[in-house]
Amino acid sequence: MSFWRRLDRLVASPPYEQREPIIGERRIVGVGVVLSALLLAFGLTRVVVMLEPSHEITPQASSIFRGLRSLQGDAALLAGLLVLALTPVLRLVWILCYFERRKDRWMAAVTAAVLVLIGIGIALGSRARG
Amino acid sequence: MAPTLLQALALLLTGSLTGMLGSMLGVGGGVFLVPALVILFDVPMHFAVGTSLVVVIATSSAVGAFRNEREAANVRLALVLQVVAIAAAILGGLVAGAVPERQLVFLFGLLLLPVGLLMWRQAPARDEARDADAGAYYVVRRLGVGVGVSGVAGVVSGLLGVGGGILMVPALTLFCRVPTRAAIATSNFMIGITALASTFLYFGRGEIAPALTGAVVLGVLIGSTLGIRLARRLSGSQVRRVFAVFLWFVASQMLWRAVRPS
Repeated sequence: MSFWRRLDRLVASPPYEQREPIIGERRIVGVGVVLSALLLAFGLTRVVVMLEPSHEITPQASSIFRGLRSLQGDAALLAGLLVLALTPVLRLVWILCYFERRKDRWMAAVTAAVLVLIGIGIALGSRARG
Repeated sequence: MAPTLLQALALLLTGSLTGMLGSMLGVGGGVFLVPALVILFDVPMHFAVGTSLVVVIATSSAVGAFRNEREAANVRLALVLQVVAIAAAILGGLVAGAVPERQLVFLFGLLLLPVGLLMWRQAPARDEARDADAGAYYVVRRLGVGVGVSGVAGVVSGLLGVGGGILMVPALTLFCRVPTRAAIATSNFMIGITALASTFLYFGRGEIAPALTGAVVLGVLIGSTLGIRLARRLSGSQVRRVFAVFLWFVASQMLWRAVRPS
């Protein structure tokens, strides 16, 4: 079987997807969007409206959590952007679990490949920062 | 440096308009946002692209979370195309780091010319098809073309900060025979994930300013939810044609900015 024919078969929905469409990740995306909006609104209020002095926040979890505990606007802004950026990643993880549960190995492998590529993007970004 | 209160409000308003237009016209919003940041706010091009990528993620997520149409997304097709799109977006993001400001502005101006044409030509067909094909059964054809276009869309996304939906939707409908509604939802699913891969490159290079991006993104989240409601009431074809002409005007401004003597 040719490569393209294999791909054509892969994208054709099997019957289980018609009975149980992938809709659970919608909740994850909704929560991510709302949480991100709240963090950004809080951060902007602190930085722009209350003119809070700038803090040195590095884009690392420990630094952001420390900043959030002291209610720093810069930390909230960074956290809001990171939550927004990580929302599609969680969405993909949810979809990966969906395919795994249904033993759809090929689609699980494709989803995993997408996650690995995103990981490469993150690693290259971290290297650029370093 | 953090924006002043007035600047933050202007950025919030710009973000709202971008988000509203993006969700009304079925595009990520980057084609409107990048020129707005560069021309109106004098933001350096690389920062405008970085901000736009975050905005594409926000629009894709907001539409995905709040629009019913999302259920029509062909997730299997999106993920297969995504493998190529993400690799291409990383390449685009790496190339962008080496391209000087003016050349990037010039490339963006050039991109807007065919995008305006696509927006103009899709206008009447898209509205009719959108209602006609709801829930239709279909088989994806010519997947190779879809893979090729998603590669181009990925490079454009990483290099210029636009979602690539304006390329993906026509490719999916015309070549892969995906119904319009499913093509829009599939493209919307894809653009956020494609933008994500190169966002971290801009973030790593320090080309995403949290306060500036935060103000724009917050506006986009408000605007895109409003746009979803408005899209149900307005005739999209008229709006699309108006904005096609507007995009050509913006393209001329960007091209002039790139070639004018400094």
